[in-house]
Amino acid sequence: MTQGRHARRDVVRAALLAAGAVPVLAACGGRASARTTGNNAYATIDQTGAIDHGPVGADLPETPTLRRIRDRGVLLQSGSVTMPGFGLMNPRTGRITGFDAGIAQLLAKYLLGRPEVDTITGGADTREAILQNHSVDVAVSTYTIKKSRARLVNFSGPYYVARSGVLVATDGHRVTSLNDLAGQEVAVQPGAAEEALRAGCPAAKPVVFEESSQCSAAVRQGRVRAWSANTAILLGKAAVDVRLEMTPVTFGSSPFGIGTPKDDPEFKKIVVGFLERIMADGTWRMLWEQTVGALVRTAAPAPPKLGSVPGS
Amino acid sequence: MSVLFDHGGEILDGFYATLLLTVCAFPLALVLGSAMAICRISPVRPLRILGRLYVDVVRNSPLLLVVVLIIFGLPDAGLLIPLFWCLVLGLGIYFGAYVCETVRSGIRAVDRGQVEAARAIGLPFRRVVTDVLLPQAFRAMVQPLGTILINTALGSALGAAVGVAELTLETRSFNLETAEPILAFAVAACGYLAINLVVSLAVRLIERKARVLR
Repeated sequence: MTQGRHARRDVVRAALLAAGAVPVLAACGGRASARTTGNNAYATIDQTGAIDHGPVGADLPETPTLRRIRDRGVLLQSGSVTMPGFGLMNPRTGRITGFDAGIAQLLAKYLLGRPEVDTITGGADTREAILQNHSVDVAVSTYTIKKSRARLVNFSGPYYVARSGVLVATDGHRVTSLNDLAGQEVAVQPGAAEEALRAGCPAAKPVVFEESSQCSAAVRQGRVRAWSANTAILLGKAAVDVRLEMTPVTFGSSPFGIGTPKDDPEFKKIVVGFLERIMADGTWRMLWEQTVGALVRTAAPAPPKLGSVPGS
Repeated sequence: MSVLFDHGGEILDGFYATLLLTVCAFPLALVLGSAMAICRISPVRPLRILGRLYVDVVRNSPLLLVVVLIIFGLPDAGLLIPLFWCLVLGLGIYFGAYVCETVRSGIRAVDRGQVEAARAIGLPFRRVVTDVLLPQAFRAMVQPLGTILINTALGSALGAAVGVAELTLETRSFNLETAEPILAFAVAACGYLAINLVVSLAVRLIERKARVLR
């Protein structure tokens, strides 16, 4: 059943990817060849170096989840292929690039000795359900640690703390504070960005688009006042599109965690051990520089403190 | 269960939006589809070609593609329509192609002899169409049109991918907040089921009314 659902989601994603290309093609009048994923900066992300540097776990305790992963020889993860900088399918290479994709590959390497990952694109809707019924082993998908979710899944982390930013059209309205968004329509992708906006500015009207390219097209065409997302995604977009500009507004903090099945607390400890290891040996920093860092172009921050968030 | 009552308002709003989408999009599909069906059986060749082109292009594209083209293509042509109406337009155009083929096959299903007999007893052309052709054609179309109406209601769930706050999107937001995926989607399924059971029932009643002994 999950397989069928998986396949159907993939069809929907493929249609979305194809459809997302339409406004881009229309907007840039024939210069489409330069764009692979709709954006040059996104297409240059490649975390292979960090994966090569990643550690392999030794003397790991036996747990049901780990046994399933090793019997299968591949880590099944619920992730995204539409979040630039975190998990984005590069259609030219077929690889999923970004920070979350890198974390999943590093985890697979830590558990299996090689970075074998199968990504299931169930979206933000199904993460708890498919972790509970063991359709996937982990969820690494800009998955905000929350108490309501911690009832259903175990979180290891936070491994990243995201801040939301606001992007507007260059020729559109100015946005100088979060209050300027009150009563306005704001494009968001489902999941962390939507939650952050609802919490940070409840008076704003979120308009949920599946794809980042749809969000940017909506802003450009004046359909929405602004686009709110993780600052890394927005900076990457603003860097290559002169019709979009970043505002100084930032808000919220979304602690991202690795979701694991609730019925296997031992496995959570293994994943926490994995995060400690990559944060200590510089792999985390390397991965950050090759993914998020390639978009925001600042020095890597210190990794967040593990277990510092309620629910983790 | 209590979380359901806390967020019941939003889900109800979503249900209402789904209902409204269906109620707006289906008549559009009906009008557009019937007009195109008339084109397809008309003696004028360019109209026949137009009708065929419409059916072949629209029916063979994914619904999402049609909707996204309207949402992001039209503004580049200088036409900015609210998202809700973009989706209504997309659903109407898409299911219009199905209505077109249903209406056309309904008319074709009427035995040629019926028209010839009507002509033979001296009925004028208008009465041939309104008294003989259409009532019999309609009978064959009721059930497939009901299916198209149900598909329109279900197809409106695509609004969740393109920012229209209908039942599916509200359910997703509800789940995002409460992490109750099974409950959330079970409620959404009941919403769609409720709409479509009413449609099925109505179709059955209309069919019984339109039935004649043969």
